[in-house]
Amino acid sequence: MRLLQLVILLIASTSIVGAQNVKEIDKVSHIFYYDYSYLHERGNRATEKNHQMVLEVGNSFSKFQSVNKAFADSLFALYANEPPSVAVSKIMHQVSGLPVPILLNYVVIKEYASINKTIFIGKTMEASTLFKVEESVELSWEIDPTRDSTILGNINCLMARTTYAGRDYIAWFAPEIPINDGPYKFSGLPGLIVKLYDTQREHMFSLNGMVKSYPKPMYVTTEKCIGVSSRGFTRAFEASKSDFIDQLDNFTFSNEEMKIRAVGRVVNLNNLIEQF
Amino acid sequence: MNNSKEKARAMGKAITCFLILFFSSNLLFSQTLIRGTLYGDQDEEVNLRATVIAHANSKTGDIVSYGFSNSSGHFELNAKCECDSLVLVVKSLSIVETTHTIANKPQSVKIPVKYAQHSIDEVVVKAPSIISRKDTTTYIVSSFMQQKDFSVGDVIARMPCFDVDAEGKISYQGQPIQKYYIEGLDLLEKRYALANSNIPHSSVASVEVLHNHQPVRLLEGLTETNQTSVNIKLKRNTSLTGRLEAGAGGYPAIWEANATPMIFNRNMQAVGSWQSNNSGSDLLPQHQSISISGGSISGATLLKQNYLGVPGLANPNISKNKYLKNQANLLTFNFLTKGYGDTEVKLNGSYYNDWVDMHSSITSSYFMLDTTIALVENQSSSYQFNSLTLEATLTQNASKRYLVNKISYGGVWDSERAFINSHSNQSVRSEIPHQTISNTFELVKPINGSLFFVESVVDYNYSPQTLRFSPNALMLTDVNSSEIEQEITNTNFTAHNKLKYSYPIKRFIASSTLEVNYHNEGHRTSINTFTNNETADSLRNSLSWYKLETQFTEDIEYKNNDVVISIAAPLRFAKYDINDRIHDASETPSYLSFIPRASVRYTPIPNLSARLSVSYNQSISSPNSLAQGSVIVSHRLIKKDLSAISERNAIRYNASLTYRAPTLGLFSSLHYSRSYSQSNMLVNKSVLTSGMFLYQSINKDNTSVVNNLSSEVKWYISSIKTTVGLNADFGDMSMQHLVSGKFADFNQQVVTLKPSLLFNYSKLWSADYSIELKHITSESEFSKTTVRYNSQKINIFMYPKPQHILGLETELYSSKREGQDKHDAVFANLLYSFKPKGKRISFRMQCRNLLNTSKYVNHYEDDFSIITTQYDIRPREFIFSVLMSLGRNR
Repeated sequence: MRLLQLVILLIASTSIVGAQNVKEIDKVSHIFYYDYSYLHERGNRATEKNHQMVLEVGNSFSKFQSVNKAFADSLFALYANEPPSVAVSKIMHQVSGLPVPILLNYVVIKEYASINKTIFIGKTMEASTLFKVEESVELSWEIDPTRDSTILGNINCLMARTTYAGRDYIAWFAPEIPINDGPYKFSGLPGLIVKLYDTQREHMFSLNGMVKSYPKPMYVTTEKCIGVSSRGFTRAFEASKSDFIDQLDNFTFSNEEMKIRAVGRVVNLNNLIEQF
Repeated sequence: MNNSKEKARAMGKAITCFLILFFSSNLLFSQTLIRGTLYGDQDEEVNLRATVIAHANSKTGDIVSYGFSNSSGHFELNAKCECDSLVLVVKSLSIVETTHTIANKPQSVKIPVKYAQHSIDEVVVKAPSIISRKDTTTYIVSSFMQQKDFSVGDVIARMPCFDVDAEGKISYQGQPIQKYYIEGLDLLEKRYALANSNIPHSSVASVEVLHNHQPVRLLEGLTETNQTSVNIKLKRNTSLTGRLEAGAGGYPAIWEANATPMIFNRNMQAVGSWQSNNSGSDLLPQHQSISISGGSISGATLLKQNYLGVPGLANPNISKNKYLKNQANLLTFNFLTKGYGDTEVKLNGSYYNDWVDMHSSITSSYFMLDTTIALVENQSSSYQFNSLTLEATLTQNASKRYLVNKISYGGVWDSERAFINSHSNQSVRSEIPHQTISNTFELVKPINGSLFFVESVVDYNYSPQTLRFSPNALMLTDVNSSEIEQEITNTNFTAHNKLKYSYPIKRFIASSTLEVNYHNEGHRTSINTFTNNETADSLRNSLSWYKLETQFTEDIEYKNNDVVISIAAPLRFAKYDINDRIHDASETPSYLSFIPRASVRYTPIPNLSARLSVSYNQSISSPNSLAQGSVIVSHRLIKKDLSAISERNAIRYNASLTYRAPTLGLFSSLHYSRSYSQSNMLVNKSVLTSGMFLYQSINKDNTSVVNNLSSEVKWYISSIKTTVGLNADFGDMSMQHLVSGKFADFNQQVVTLKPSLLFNYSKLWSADYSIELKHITSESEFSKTTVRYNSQKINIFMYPKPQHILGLETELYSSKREGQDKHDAVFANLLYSFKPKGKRISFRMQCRNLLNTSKYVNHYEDDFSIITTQYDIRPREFIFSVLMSLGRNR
């Protein structure tokens, strides 16, 4: 089991230090932190995990990703002028304890000028390939004016419902924060999405803090990506699991049962947000 | 044919209804198309994405539509509203919020906006103070710590729902915790006070409370428990931590020293400690490994029984460092290493040595049949404690097997002296050594979907104890001597073996258990007078006996998402063979007992849990109670038993309700228990002409009923970092007793109320305040007494600068026994601490007992007496200490 965790950690570390070619697309003006609670395996509450995610908002773009990935990005910016080998050596030890979970190894960029345009750049378990999903995520939100609540101290929120990629979602948004954005690919409400969860509670994003940012650059990778549809990425992720399981043959397990459990864990890693 | 026509008619009706509904709904909620443009000061189109929200009638009305402007400033809304007007609100981070009211009709609008860069209010990112997830509640240490705190125990004591008693034992919602893990490992077992009082809070990230915790991994999710455990989560990369402390002061000379390094690695943990002080700090809780949790004693194999001793003094309800005159030393080493396959090897060794002096004045009132006997004694006691414990444990807590083998040795060499000044002087000495060695083995293994449990405990104890004193009167008819020695030698061997088989059937788990226990004991007592070579039989006992006990238990447990029901039906057969070499108590009795129990736990929502349980127990006293020869237990008490073993039947009911809402910071619990017991023997308490008391067991059926209701509410208001609490307890005990041969009822009621407030909001100061009001009423045929206690504590700490701490701790105690004077005691401590910025070291100056209070009065009540003890308090003391945390965290 520890071996499997180590392998996953290595993949995650590779993914962090993998993206070095970047370009600036905007300046970050506000940063929102979300606590993300999700299940690794569909319907299995015992596989619940938590991670901190960050939404960086600029004038024309927003970027949503794992805080650990964002931290690595900022280090790359810091060592941008260093030779790659030097940069990696300086960055590796700083990010070694900050892995990005396999299911969260992505960046979501939303372009405000073009309504609903979303760019998803992510990796499967085969960590060397970047996939890019460009799509127009059209969410039909239904606001329930009868439901309001106070979240995160004193932010007044309203409730809205939508459906996306096989799940029904409930969102609580704050009309007093005039940013039509939210976690992951979700946006389009007249205020920031403060809390979002699917009705089965398998994915839940909760805003737990916001800070003003000094105008720091917002980067996006210029690495070569394979363009796929959202459905295509889901299939690629499933396919990468088979490759990963094949690779497990190259590792030594203390007994066959350990190996079966490791394979089981990979097979059951199936709870992507998109369920087609 | 007719059917198809009817179906067609019904279909037609349905379509008509649908069309009517469809059009009427469209009529009712007709859409209004609003097109608009945002323009700036120069009449230019606004090139930004702004939100346009349409409210019905007013800005606070319902949102009926919303949209976003495009790069040309154009927007389009479809408002569904039966309202007269619409209020359009335009929002963006780059413009001033603009409101525009229009009639509710299709139209095109132009809305002027002003540019202004503004920002939303910043919210500092903070983890919530308390996080709840499934069966785990996590307390973030940084949210509860105060600058004056050093150890994690200081912080835990302030967390809502936690209670740390004077012995360092931790309770959560009124129940003692089962395990104290550090990073998931149980290194110290019941000696967790050592870690709790020495791990710097700066090394700890959070404290996890594990509810319904099952420590055996193999049984997780299978066998329910209602126990709570605590796991200390260290900060990332914490490996070396601990405490270094040295202090000195006066007057008279005081010292304090503590060197406790700790290493916590992924596969190894080690805690060593050397501590020494004469400042009243009790080190025993960090040494002893015995605790009571979940109704059973843990570490009982190391338990020493005192068969005799100098008169003990009840501990007053003030902290020990106020009155304890000690010279204590503690040396301990604890090591744990993880091996292959979830195996752990653990070594624990601890040596404790202490000299304690106590001076007190004792006024005792004994309520006899016709009179009340009052005694006034001044007692100077000196206790010397020496104790060594060694334990080696092998554990494998894997998902396929649970195995524990622990071998323990305990050696105790305690001695006591007392000088008692009454109408004459008496000197009492006792030697209370004890040796014990034991081995505990446990195995749980699944085989073909069933579980097998094997448990074996082997325990050997040897206690040769003596009491020596000069009687001030003729004690017994056979005793006429200037000095008396009471000797008691007890040797016993126990072998406890258990085999259990559990098999799941859908939602049920059925178990069958067979226990075979063997106990062999030799119990010899003799009163030596040093005048005659021979001791009269009336002053001697020599019992040897063994017990062979077999118990068979069938139990079944049902579990679904909300409910856990457990029923057990043990049947016990015990056979004794008692050999009395001196008196005629030899017999071979046997007993058959049926001791069923049942419990229900209902958890309708994750935050709320209700538990009901009932148990019936039949027990018999130790055959040592057959000792017919007199035994002097203390200089004033003689025990003499009848040749009979007492039997007790008891039924006990428990009900509890706990509610936890960690996100609101609200915790509450309510516990009720009732026990009803019957016994066939009673102790007759009488006074001899010599002024000594004789406790003699006689045959007499009697009953006792005990009711207890306790409640606790704690509310942590995170926005102001304040905890408000209220504890309320009510206890009622009714029993029958025998005084001077007179059979009578005795009733005692205890009411306790304890509100508390803890304020930790300001960075400049913190304060806590608590009151405890206690009212005890005791009533028998011979007497009625009422005692009221009132204690208040106010602590204020100020932090004028981050490096400086100024503190004042005050305590007020008041006790009033009806018909007697009121006793008050006020204590105050003053503290100043300086911690250089960025350093681990801090300097502390204290003045303890600032008001130089010299006496404290405590009352102890039972069915027969009230004992009022006046304790000598440590004088005003000044102490300067240097304190340092080990490791990287400051």
